[in-house]
Amino acid sequence: MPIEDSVSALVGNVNISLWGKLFLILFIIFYIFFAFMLFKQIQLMTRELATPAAPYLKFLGLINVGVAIALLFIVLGIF
Amino acid sequence: MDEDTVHDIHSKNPFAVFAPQPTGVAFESLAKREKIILLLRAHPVTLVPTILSVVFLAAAPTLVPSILSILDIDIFSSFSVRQLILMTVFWYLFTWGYAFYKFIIWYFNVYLLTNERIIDIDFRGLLHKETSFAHLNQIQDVNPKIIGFFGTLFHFGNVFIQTAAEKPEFEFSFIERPNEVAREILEQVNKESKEAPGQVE
Repeated sequence: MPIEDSVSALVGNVNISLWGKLFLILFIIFYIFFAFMLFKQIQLMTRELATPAAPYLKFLGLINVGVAIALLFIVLGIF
Repeated sequence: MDEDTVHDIHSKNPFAVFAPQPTGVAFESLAKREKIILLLRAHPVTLVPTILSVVFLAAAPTLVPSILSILDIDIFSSFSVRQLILMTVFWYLFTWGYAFYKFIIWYFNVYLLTNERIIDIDFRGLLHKETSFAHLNQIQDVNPKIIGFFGTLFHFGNVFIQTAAEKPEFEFSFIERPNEVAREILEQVNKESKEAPGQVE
């Protein structure tokens, strides 16, 4: 069987929702990394420049990381 | 705005773009008797492209099904309702992350004028942070510029500061009232030149 046929057979047999799940898991892992880096950067910047809004921004950064991690568990459960 | 406004007002707005003597603001290397005279950020007009892209990203999920239907793809038959809701949640998480990131960059990208020096805190991305200082007695030339349609309309521009410090030129970009800022810098430079070396007043 030509290699193109075997690839298309393999791809055709896999449910589209599995590809969706893989994509979402990869996306959320990337997003968790991004959110964590953003939170670390906010911590660094608030140490460099303390402002009255800094605690709220740190809190938002932390919530962002928390929501991303929660979504990872949700996607693992739902799909 | 006359110069007394800069000295009499203590800005309490944490999101101000032109904050004279801001309360509750400090930076890492602030000396004991050093005072922040001005805290400056880029004018909010510079955030308009970001706001437009966030509005577009927020509206995109309502457009996707109709665009895919043109290509003969029925998204509703490929995914369950729960999966579609989850994908929408992911999309808005991404949109929120992008907006928050852009806001953080804008918020922490500040220029400070103290009674001792000028400070440029540059936060250009997740992995790029740069802080530059120049003492007032190292400042050689201050040059405000308002360029372009939006700069003239909303009264913002750049202030170029030539120094004898390690960084030869500071640029305070897209700040509100560049002329007043330049005048205030020169005033502080004059005050500093009258002080004895090492004196902090």
